[in-house]
Amino acid sequence: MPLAAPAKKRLISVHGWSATVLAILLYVVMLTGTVVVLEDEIAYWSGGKAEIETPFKDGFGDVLEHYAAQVPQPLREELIVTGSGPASARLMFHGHIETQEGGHEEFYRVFEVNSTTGHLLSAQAGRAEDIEFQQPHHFLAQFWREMHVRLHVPGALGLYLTGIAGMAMLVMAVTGVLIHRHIIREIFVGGRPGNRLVSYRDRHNLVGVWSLPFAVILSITGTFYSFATSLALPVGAISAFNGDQEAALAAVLRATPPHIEQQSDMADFDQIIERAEKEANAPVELVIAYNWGLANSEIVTRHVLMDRQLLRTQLLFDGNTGALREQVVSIGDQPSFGNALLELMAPLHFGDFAGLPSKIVWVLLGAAMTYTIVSGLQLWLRRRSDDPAWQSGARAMMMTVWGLPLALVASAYGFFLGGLGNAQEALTVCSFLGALTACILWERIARKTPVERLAFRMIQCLGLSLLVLPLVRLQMGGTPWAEAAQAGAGSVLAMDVLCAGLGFSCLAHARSRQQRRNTHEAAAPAE
Amino acid sequence: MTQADFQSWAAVAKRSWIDVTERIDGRAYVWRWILVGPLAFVVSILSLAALPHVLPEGAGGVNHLIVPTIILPVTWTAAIVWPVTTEKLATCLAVYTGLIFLCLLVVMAALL
Repeated sequence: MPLAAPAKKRLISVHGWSATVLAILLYVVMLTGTVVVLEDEIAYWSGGKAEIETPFKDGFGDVLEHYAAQVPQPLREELIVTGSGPASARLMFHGHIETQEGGHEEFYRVFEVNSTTGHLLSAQAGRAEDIEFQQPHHFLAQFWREMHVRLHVPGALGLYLTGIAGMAMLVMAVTGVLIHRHIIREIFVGGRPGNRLVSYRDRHNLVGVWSLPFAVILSITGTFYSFATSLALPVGAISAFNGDQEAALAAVLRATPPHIEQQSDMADFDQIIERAEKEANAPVELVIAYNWGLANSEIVTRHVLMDRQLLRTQLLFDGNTGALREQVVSIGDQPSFGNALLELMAPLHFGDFAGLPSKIVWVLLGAAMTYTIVSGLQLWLRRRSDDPAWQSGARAMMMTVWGLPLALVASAYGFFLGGLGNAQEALTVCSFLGALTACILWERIARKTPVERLAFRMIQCLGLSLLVLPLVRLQMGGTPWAEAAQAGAGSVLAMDVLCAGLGFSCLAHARSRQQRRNTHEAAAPAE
Repeated sequence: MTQADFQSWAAVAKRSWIDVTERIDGRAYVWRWILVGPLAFVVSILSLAALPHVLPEGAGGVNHLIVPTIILPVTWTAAIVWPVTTEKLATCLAVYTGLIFLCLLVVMAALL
């Protein structure tokens, strides 16, 4: 049923205003989200380490036994084992110890070891706040991911902000569909060239329609990730568990074995891994062992996603006998509709269900979504270009659109240069904030310069900084291409090529903008 | 109650409904803002709180807890878009008010 004209007018108003009010928030979340789809690749590229290999090879069980023997029983409540480099594994023992006051508190012992020889590479011990859970050499990828997840705003507030951005995106997608009656036709209609109002509208419609299904998927999954723990958990706990959030979590998560006194030998770990890989038909990615060394020990193996597989396999073994008990589900005690929905959230949001090809598709669709936001804002501002108040809005939009990627690249420079003085974390943050401040000052100092000229300079800066970035990475001790190729870390070379490609594209774009401007000025009648 | 009483009550209810509708339509702009903003938010949050008590638990015993969380953005968006597209704001207000009372009833019944 076609909408009445007043209803359509209201929808356009909601569509435009919700995007304009939340423009910066949406743009930051969308742009950083597009970047962090390649989080693993960025981590390998920036971290100076080759890609992570599975540590679960023959003989690794002996390494585990050796380190478990050094840890007191209370800290063997949970043991998480993952690969952390080309031939290294991270063993994280976690449990509760008695305090002087007679209570209990969580405590960790973390070892990073050579997975083949068992040699200790590093060790940590302490409470949760004393442990460096994140790998320092992967800080750049983590810094960008935190910006996407919670905009670096601490606590639940950051999650609320990104959740609202996701909600706004869904509202815009739905109102966009209702506004455009000829949505199918617009899939095949190219934009009219030039800088006219219809050209902006055509480009916005074309990209918006193509990225529409992606916008719906991303907004629903993204809002779920933002609101699941910050909003749904407290509300669900209040309504169904008398406000007890731990009880609410316990109701959905699988129960772990309780602590008992009876000790028992562990089954052959290597045989469990061999059986798990055979059953799941996929390599083991992560192992969680509960109550290591006790008579009710359990071992859960989580497997790598294989081709044409959307959901990860997790298997539960008896830690003492090595017998396979069951396939573990993420939530609940058996496979269910709710569990399937929950497990679908991750591959649909992160786009990692078919390896690098699906990630590339997600990056391209994310870039299209980012362009939809920017082109929508351009259209909004173009319609109000005669209003002086909105003219300053156009400058602010231009500074944000080009200033944020410039600041992200600056943070990468800070990360690489920080490697010289072991101050990667501080320099990454300082470079990002410094670049943002510099952009704002630049705009203030050059406030008489036309916005087009300012944009041209910023794009040039971005292009040049992207072009030089791989050279700085190599100069600061990053993995050389030959070494990366030898270690099978293709992502290192791919990321350098991507940086250079994006740098050239920015320079080409700036050049074409300048040429268009010159042509426009030449065609204008003389005074 | 006789048929005459019933007809009289029905006529009063109809007149009241028309009166309310005219009042709401007279200040449609303000009411639309209230429906799109605070009421849409309250309806979606209360549905998040009430649905765990209404939906079946399912095989794994978690469907009633997970499904409301996943559909939260959808219910919220629907609650925002409906008042924008409809001209019948009084119907919208009546539905939202009814939903709020229903959800509160379900939650209170579970808590007490």
